[in-house]
Amino acid sequence: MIEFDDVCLRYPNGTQALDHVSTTIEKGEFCFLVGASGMGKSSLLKLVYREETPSAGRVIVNGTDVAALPKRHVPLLRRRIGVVFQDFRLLSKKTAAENVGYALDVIGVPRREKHRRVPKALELVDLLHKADAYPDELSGGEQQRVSMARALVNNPPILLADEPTGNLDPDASWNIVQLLSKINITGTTVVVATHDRDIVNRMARRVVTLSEGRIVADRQRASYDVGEADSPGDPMTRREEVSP
Amino acid sequence: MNLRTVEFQIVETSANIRRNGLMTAAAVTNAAACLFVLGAFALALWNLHSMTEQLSHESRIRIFLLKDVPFEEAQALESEIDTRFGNMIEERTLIPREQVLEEFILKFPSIPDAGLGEENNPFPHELQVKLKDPEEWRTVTEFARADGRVDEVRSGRESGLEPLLKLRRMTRIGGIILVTFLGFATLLTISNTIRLTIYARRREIGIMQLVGATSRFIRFPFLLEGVFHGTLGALLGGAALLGGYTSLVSWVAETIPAFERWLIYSADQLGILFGGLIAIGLLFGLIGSWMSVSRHLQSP
Ligand SMILES: Nc1ncnc2c1ncn2[C@@H]1O[C@H](COP(=O)(O)OP(=O)(O)O)[C@@H](O)[C@H]1O
Ligand SMILES: [Mg+2]
Repeated sequence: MIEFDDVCLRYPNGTQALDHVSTTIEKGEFCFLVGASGMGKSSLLKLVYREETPSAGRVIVNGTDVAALPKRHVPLLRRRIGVVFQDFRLLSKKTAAENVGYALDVIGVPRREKHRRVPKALELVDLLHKADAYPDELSGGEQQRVSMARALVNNPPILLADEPTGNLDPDASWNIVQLLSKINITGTTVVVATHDRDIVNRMARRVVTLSEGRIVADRQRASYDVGEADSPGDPMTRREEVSP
Repeated sequence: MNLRTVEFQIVETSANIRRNGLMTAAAVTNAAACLFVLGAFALALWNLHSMTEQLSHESRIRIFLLKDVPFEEAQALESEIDTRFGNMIEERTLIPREQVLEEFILKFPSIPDAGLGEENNPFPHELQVKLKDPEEWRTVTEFARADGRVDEVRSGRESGLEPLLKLRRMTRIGGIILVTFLGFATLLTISNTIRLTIYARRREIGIMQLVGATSRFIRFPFLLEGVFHGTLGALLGGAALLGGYTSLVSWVAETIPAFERWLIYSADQLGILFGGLIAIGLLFGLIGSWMSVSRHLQSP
């Protein structure tokens, strides 16, 4: 579903954000991308939705080389990928339902279709009862759920979350992660960039660890820190391990 | 773009225009001011052009006889000129000094007559000659000047007109440069305002890009807004210009009636000016906003 093939990313100011990254995230997988701040998690996600293009290597999403995509096709790629952020990115002058509907408005989905899909998306994140609330009338966790509803309203096969719990308390964070897990169970590929040790450890899913733009560990049913609650000798759970 | 999309865009754009009321007002006022000045310069140039155009067709030669020359002698000169230049002359009139005085008193009633009358007439007889080809003025003028009965000869081509034509050539170039410059300023003003609205809405743009709106879709409301600013600005600036100008014309008509015929004031001509301003406002609004949006959407 998502394949990084020897990807490098150097920003115009010379920062080498990603350094020969290769990995594959399968269809329907749930994967954490962990690492301290500045290690390249966001950069890796940005390559997937073509916010950045790699300076070397290829990024294949759903069989398409994203970097080679003509600019006018980028919107079509984005319609197949839902993205949520730490800061929610909601429009404060629109209600929850309007924020979700906005994603359909701007890609020209017919009104009847929109009125069918928006409540379904809000239902999915358990916020139908707050459909007419404005973002500042919602808690942080609720705002993040609205932003997830917006990311999902177009039924994308891929959901990317960049520090989705960064602004939330532990309870709300756990709630969001469980929601991500629930969405994953329905078949959506979910990639979560986070440095929230607690949720990664509680979930015990695949963990890809980035350090200075390189993948330094990639383990199944793993915890945040390399070497802990992890079975290095078991080839079934060891996908790949690179020494830093 | 389907109907639903267009509807959404128009609703969003009008909401944005209302929401950014102050900025919209500033942008429209700005465009109006720029287009007013642009229009005023264009109008001044046009007037100058038409004035000199009319003057260059002005072919009348005025021959003033010496004051003590009797009317019969004046008639003799008239027929002499007629035999010599008859085929070149379109029209000639001999005005006796009494009539010149009468017309003067009619024209300037405010000047106290100072005992002007049959006995005290400062004017000589005057012979006016209009040539078929105004370029031939020199021959007739020189002939009349050589005549002993003639005091003074005035020709439109000779007096004042040549410098005026030179002035026209100069102002035409200067005017074109100035109007281009003003047009450019208008364009930049509109483009800049749109840049501010884009900046004010960069969050929305970011979200639109994230959820897969096309560049064309994102661009459209800003273009609409730019066109709105430019067109409304042109309407207001043009209305102010025409209002001011027509009152100027009527003031001129009252104060210096002789000057009125030089001015452009027919409904057709002013209509062209107004229509031109609207077209420029619309076009500049479109180009200006296009410049800003494209620059913003360029960055990934
Ligand atoms: N737009 C950018 N321009 C220049 N450098 C950037 C940019 N975005 C990120 N970086 C740098 O790239 C590195 C990786 O950043 P990022 O991917 O945001 O890390 P993370 O998400 O893991 O915190 C950091 O050193 C950061 O400063
Ligand atoms: Mg980050």
